[in-house]
Amino acid sequence: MVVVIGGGCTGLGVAWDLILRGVPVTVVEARELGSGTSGRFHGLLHSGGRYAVTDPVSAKQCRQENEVLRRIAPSAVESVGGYFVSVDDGVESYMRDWIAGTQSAGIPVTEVSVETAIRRLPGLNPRVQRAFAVADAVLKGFELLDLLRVNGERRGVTILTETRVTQVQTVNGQVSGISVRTKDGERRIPCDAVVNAAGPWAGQVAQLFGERVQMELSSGLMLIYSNRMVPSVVNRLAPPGDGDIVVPHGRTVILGTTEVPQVDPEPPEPTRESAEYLQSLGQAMFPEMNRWRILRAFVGVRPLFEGNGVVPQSRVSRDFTVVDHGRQGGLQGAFSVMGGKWTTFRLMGERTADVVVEYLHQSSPSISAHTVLEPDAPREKHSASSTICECERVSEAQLLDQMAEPFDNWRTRTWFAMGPCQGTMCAHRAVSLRMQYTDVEGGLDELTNLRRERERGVRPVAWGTNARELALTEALSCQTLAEGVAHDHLR
Amino acid sequence: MTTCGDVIVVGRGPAGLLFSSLVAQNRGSVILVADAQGSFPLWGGQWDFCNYTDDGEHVLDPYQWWQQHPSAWDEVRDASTWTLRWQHLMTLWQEIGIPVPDRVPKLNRWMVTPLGQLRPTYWVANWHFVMERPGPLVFVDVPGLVDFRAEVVARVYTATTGQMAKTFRLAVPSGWRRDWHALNWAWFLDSKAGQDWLGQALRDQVRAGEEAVVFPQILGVDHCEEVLEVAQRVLGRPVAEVPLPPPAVGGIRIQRRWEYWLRRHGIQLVSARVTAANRHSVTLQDGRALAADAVVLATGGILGGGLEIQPSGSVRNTVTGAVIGTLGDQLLGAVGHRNWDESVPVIGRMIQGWNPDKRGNGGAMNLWTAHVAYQAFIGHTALAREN
Amino acid sequence: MWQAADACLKCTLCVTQCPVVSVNPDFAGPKALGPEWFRRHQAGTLETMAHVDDCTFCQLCEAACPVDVPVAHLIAAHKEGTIRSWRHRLRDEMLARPHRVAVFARFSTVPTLVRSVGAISQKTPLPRRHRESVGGLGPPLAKSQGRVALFRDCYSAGYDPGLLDMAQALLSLWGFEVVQLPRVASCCGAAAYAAGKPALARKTAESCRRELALGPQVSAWVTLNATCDGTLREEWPRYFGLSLDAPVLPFDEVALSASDEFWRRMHLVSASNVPLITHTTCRGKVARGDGHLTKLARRAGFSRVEPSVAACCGAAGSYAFKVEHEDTAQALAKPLALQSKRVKPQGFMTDSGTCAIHIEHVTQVQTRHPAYWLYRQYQRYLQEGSGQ
Ligand SMILES: Cc1cc2nc3c(=O)[nH]c(=O)nc-3n(C[C@H](O)[C@H](O)[C@H](O)COP(=O)(O)OP(=O)(O)OC[C@H]3O[C@@H](n4cnc5c(N)ncnc54)[C@H](O)[C@@H]3O)c2cc1C
Ligand SMILES: Cc1cc2nc3c(=O)[nH]c(=O)nc-3n(C[C@H](O)[C@H](O)[C@H](O)COP(=O)(O)OP(=O)(O)OC[C@H]3O[C@@H](n4cnc5c(N)ncnc54)[C@H](O)[C@@H]3O)c2cc1C
Ligand code: SF4
Ligand code: SF4
Repeated sequence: MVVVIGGGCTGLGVAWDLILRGVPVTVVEARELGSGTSGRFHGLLHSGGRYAVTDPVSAKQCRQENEVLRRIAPSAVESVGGYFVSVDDGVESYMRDWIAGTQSAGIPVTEVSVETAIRRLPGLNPRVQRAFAVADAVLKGFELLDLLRVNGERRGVTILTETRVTQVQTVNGQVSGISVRTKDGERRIPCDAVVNAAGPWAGQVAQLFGERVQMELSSGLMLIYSNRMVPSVVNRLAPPGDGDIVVPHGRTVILGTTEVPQVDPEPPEPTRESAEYLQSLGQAMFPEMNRWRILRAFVGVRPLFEGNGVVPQSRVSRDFTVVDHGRQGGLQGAFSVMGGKWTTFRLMGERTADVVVEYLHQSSPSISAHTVLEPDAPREKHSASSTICECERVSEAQLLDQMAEPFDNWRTRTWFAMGPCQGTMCAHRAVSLRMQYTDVEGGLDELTNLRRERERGVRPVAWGTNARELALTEALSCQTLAEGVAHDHLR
Repeated sequence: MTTCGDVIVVGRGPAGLLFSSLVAQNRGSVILVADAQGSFPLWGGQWDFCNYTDDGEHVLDPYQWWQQHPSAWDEVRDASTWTLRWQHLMTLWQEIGIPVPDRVPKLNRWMVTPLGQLRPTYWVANWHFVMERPGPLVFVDVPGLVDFRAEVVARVYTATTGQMAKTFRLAVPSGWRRDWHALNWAWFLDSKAGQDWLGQALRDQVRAGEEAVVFPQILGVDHCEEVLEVAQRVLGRPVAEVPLPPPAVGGIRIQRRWEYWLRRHGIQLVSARVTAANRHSVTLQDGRALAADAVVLATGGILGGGLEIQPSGSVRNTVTGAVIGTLGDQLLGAVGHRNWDESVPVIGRMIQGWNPDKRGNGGAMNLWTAHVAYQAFIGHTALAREN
Repeated sequence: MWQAADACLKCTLCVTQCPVVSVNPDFAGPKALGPEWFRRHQAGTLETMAHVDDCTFCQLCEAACPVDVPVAHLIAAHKEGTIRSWRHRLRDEMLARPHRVAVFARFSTVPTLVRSVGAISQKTPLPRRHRESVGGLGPPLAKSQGRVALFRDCYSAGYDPGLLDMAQALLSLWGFEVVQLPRVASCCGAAAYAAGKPALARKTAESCRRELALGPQVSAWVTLNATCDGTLREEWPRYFGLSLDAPVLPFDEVALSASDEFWRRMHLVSASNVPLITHTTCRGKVARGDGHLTKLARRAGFSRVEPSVAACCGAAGSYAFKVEHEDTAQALAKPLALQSKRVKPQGFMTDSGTCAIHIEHVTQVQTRHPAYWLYRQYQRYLQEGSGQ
């Protein structure tokens, strides 16, 4: 049995590829699925265009995986199309390289007229010089994670959430099991091999293998706007840099991103200065962006890895790396997969599984590129039920369906409190619904936590209308609802 | 009685309405300019005096608290001044037709929140449920009303007070829809048909007992006294309401009655955004100018729109354009002018140092600042007359 | 492109001020039908919601909104997507062009059969033509104030030409030189917008603008009808990119600035203690605010003036004429009927012709425009002997 550490896209991708090859797998996730970078990304299923000049291998992989994912996970991909628009002077030579790069990576590109671009992308900078359509799409991260979970579990993958790997046991220099900590205590899980797919935490997990892996982490800020102001992905046609992509996502659009080196795998709090900076960059593409209603800011950490410490086993591209620690003279049966993108998670899974099955002396080939991820059978619809979250139209029935989930999953599965009011009007409703099934204190604590979590993303972008929203939240939660008030002395 | 000169009030929230009333009561003429509805329909209309100390402890005796806590105004320590001002509010509301007891309370009382918790409050209309100390209660569950789950309210209430709480579920009238919010119920119950239906529906709930029956705030809008009277008669016990998040029916009742009273008193309501002002005139967004003896900004802070936060974090008065500071990590409700008498007098939530969210003193803030501005205003006009 | 269509705070203030919400429990309200619908629409959803047509386009929601969401205008765009029966479509096409209908001002005699086939309400009375002979009011009281245009709205032009003449007589008395424009029947576009036809509204407005351009240079545009007032001043520039070269002013505001001598004379009239209820129409409240009519009536010497308790009388342009809205329209007017019973006024003063018919119908009390009441009062003054 193989243990995969990390329940992000990479870990689930490895597990999925392995189970399809008949290898029993357990995924161990310290928090919830997607609580790492996989739940804090930009949502772009890359066409490859972005890397056409800087990383041709990666560009080609994106192009291929883009096609694969549309095939195997159509319900998690929204084919919105994308544009590369040049709004800057002096990028002619880059543009030439870009066109050549896309050609050699086989990325389909169609130039559209400036008028067409302006018509299709309301609010686009009228100074746009050229525009090219590509096959960018929206990747619905939480949905795809859920598909991987459902299909994996259906085929026998065990997924343990809120379970942190604390130790790796060895016998004769070979992996024999892991120790995990859950809220019920420590326990051991025997296994034949361990795959470290802990994203930004991969360095920490590698230490459990006795390895020193130097991650080159960097954080990226993203800004969410309340409405879907643009129907397609828009990339600034210039050497990749900060704030150069806008992605429509559900009923919103997301502007990203930045690149700030950092050491801690936990994402830092977004700041007002960085948010203001990012928005000003976005205005190069959409000059009126400062008048779009902003909702919140969030930060993800890129699990990049520059290969110091150990020599990579197979340097598949500059993008991601699979390390067989045993082959490096380290622990036998220990593997790490680092770097990558959401778009290429399946390929990462495949390449990692290749190495793992070899170690296990098996020879089954990967079939994940051809196996469709079947969505869960639609749940029985509850009859009429009240609306709890008006922004995202989440009904009481939908919330009841997911009631067994931990609180944060309950939110990301149903999407309540994620719309324009950020829970101002629905947080207490959802919590009081939940309190019918939980204890009173627990429910009130969850409400406080939810408010705090929402505020963290809203406060850095509390300006203009959005500041008024936050002021409304404060008034409502402090005055009308008097949340967080203690009254032990009343008894 | 003094007759005041003309005044322009910007903002029609509680502070603006109160200040306008002070002027109108003394036969001054008022032009009330606002670009939007004020905050009343967002809350239940309870006027808090002071609910919490710095450490978040409950305050039981707000008079005492104010006596011990000096503020920008020395007078604020004086209990008798407070009493006079609350008494003025009492008679004003009675005249307007907002039912209140004919004596101002000495202490804070407890109200129940939509989650069943308790919090202090001071000044409320008669429809608003308050108690001196927790006792057994009956909560009414209203189908489809997601802001108030009586079962949960009762459990939380019992868990926090140790008191018994029962519930019963209201039936639904024909034509009811699951997505009815509090205001839909209230408008329905406002009608004769609604009141008849309620009487019928409550007949099944008549049981022995004396506990007060607590409804979520849905019992009518303009005719809420009649609706309450029906409920009380049928149930044979005291009936009162818990205010809910918006649409907050209690605040709507007050807003409607108060604005109507002001219109009867001849005030002119101008709907427009003010983009510039000085002590004697305002400029509207469409370029028009209005002039008067005095201008007062009751523009409501960040939520009300009188203050605007820029991306950089600097805080700007939307009317005068003055930058008054930078947002730190304080609650947004704490942001405001340090003093009422800036280039143009500001009242209500425009003023720093009260912080209704953290302190629970929103009502006191409106009351005090409106009176301070009014005193200054009659001072000015008296002076102007002498000269 | 919309401005602030994405700004909604979900504060619900719009819902609390919507008159239709107060009488029609099936109406989802402005927040759901406006910004919430629009957000889904912008994300590609095509479906429309039930009862969106019940919105009167009074715009009170928009006036209440703290962040300037064009709530009512989003609802108008929402209405555009609803599917209606051919009868309703035909009727709506007609009602959206009130200036054409008004040309054949025999509307009030539409036979019952036609009404029912045409989905026209049987309960709501249709406009009938006022016939009044209007004379001058004597020499101006003030020195020349320059030339203003009196906006000849389609309703007054078709049904109440006398009102235009009264307003003109008063304006002349106050020292203005008056031209009535446009010369040919033409509509500002409000009716089409209210019916959920923004494109037709724009076309109508543009052609009206062209008509207005044919007139002479003026220093102000004076409107009699609050709906036209708001449309010309606020919607033309904001939604149609049309502008007039002089400010648009409602008649009652111009009246309030009449000379002291005028008001002195009005106070000399004996019959001035007739009880009067002033009803600022919904669109008047939105465009200008409330309380002007009360102030005007009091200044004109009506000592027993009471403001109306209703936010909107329910007429809302052609809304009340549509059979599917007649109940809502009646319900909206009910508070006025009750108030009228209580106060027993001799008249209502209101700033719209269509609202006047509706109020008159539900209260059985004469309901007229401020220009009418001022004109009549001043005429009394002249009759009672201006020598005082
Ligand atoms: C700002 C930003 C924008 C991006 N945008 C895009 C994009 O638009 N398109 C795209 O294709 N890619 C994008 N990416 C890249 C992509 O999101 C990441 O490469 C990918 O999500 C990484 O997934 P992962 O599974 O490797 O890591 P994670 O999702 O972080 O998963 C690692 C998991 O390991 C768990 N873990 C850690 N330690 C332990 C332990 N000891 N025991 C058990 N579990 C543990 C963590 O809780 C975590 O859930 C973006 C990245 C960033 C930072
Ligand atoms: C959700 C909520 C719950 C509350 N609960 C309580 C409570 O429990 N107890 C309590 O005592 N108080 C409560 N309050 C009231 C609060 O504490 C304040 O007292 C109140 O909101 C302040 O009112 P205000 O009159 O200063 O401003 P607001 O009511 O905000 O009014 C501001 C007005 O100014 C207008 N305006 C702003 N800028 C301009 C401009 N440039 N031009 C023209 N007009 C402008 C706005 O349109 C609006 O009409 C609550 C408020 C809210 C929102
Ligand atoms: S325009 Fe009037 S009727 Fe329509 S939603 Fe707004 S307030 Fe209600
Ligand atoms: S449209 Fe305006 S008034 Fe209505 S909920 Fe949204 S912000 Fe509030």
